[in-house]
Amino acid sequence: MLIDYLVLTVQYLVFPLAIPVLLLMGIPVAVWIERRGAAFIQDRVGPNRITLFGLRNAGILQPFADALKLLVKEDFLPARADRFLYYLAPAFSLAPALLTFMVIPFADVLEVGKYKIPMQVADLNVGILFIFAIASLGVFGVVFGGWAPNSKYSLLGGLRSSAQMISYEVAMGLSVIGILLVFESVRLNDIVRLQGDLLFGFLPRWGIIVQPLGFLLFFVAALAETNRIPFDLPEAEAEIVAGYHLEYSSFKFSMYFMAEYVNMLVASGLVTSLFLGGWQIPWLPTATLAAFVGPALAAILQATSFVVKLWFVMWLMVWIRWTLPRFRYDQLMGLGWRVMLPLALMNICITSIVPFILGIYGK
Amino acid sequence: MMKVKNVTPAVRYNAKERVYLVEILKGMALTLQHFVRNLVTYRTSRQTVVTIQYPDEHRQYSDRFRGKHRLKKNPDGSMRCVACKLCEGNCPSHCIHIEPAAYPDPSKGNYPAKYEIDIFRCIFCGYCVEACPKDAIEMTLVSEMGTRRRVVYDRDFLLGGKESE
Repeated sequence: MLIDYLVLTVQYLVFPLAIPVLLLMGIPVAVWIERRGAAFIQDRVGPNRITLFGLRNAGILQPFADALKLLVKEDFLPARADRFLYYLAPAFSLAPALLTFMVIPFADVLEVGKYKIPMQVADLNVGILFIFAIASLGVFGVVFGGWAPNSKYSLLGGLRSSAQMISYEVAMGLSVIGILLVFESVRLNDIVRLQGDLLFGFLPRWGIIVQPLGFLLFFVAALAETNRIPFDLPEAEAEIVAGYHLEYSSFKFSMYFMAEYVNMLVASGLVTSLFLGGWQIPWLPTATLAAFVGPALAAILQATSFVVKLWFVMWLMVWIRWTLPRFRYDQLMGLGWRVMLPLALMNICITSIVPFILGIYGK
Repeated sequence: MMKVKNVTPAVRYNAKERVYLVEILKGMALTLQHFVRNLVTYRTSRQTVVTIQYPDEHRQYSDRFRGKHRLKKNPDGSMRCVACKLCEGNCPSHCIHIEPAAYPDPSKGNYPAKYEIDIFRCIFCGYCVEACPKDAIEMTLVSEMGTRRRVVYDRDFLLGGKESE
C-alpha cells in the first residue's frame, strides 16, 4: 500500500517538480558552455574571475552572479507601455518553454515488479503534437514583449520574430512528419524505443540514419525557432539594438534570457529524442541492460546517455552560433519558404514511397 | 544620358558553394580547430589565448610610452626645474601652472614654488618634455592614474615616484 503511494508520489509530484528545476539548473551550465566556448573559439579567455570561498571555478558561477545582478537591478516600466501585457510577456515566453520538456522521456519505462513508471512527467499519446502546440505559444511572449513597451525597436524585433517563427514552424512540422512516418507513432517514448532497433543488423535505427534530410531540416528549423544565430534576426544587436526584450530590465529580462536557454534545451532534447536515439545506448536494448545491471541502474544509465546527447546538441548550437554570421532578412525568409519547405515536402514524399519500393510497408 | 558601368562583377557561385552546407562545415572545422587548440594549451607555456588578464598581467609598453609626468632631481637632491615656464607656454592644453620663486642665494637662480599639472586636461602629448631646456620633466611608463582625489598633480607629488630607466 505504502509503496503504491510512493510510486504515485514520484510519478505525479517528484517528476513534475524536479524536471523543471533540473531544466532551470541547466541554464547556468548552458550559459557557461556558451560563454567559455565562444571565448575559446575566438582566442579569448571568457569569464574566469568569479570565485567562491577563494576558489577559482573557471567562471562556472558567472551565470549565478549575473542572475543576482539582474535580480537587484531597477525594474523599469517604459512610459505609455501596455502594463498588463508588459508584465505578462516574459512569463508567456518562459512558461511554454518549460512546459514542452515535460513530454520528453529521459529513460525507458521503469519496470519494478508490477509498477511501470514512465521516466518523463507526462507520457502523452500525442507527444510531438503537444510539443508543437505548446511551443507555438512561445511566440506570443515575444510578440507581446515587442508590442507592449511601446518602442519601435522592440516592435520590429517582435514582428520579425513572429514572421520568422511562423515561417519556420511550417518547415519544422513538415520535417518531423518523415520521422512519424518511419516510426508510426507520435508518442515520444515509442519513437525512442523503436530507435533501439538495428538496421542491417549492426546500425542503430536512429532518426538521423533513417531520416538524414529530416534531421537537417529539423535542426535548422529548431535553430530558427529558438532565435539562435544564424537566425537571430529578432534580436539583431547591430540593427534593432536588442529586439523584443529591449525595454525589459531586471528579472523580466532574465526571464527572457532563461526562456531562450530553456528553449535551446528543449530543442536539443527534441533533436536527441527524434533523431539521436533519445535515451538509447547504442546496441544495448533496455531488456539486455536491465538484465545486466538491474532496472534502476539501467534507467540511470539511459538518462545519462540522454543527457550526454542533449549536451552534445547544445554544444552543436553554440558551435554554430560562433561560426556563422547572421542572415539577411530576405535570405532568412527565402531559405524558410523556398528551400526548407520544398525539401521537407520532398522528404515526406520520399519517405512515403521508399517502403513501397522496398516492399517493407506494414511489415 | 550618362552610361553607367557596373564595375563589380556579379559573383557566381558554383554548385558546391550554393549548397552552403560544405562551406558551413568548413567554417565549423576552423572554429573547432581554434577551440581545441585554445582549450588544450590554456594555462600552459604554449598558450594561444591572446587575452592579457589585466590586473594580474600587464601589457609591455614601449620605452617611449608617455605616461604620468615626473619632475627630476639633481644628484644632490635639489630640483632640476628652474621655473622657466617654457613647458607651461608650450602646453597645448594649458594644463601646467608654474609659480616661480628665487633661492635666497642669487647664484642658484629660480625654482618653482608651485608646479601643478591638471591631469584631467593633460593630453599626454609630451611637448613639455620636448620644451624643457633643463631636462627636468619626463614622462614615465606609469599609465594607471585612476584616482578620486588628486586631479591636479602638485609639485611634491610630481617630484616623488621612482626614477624611471
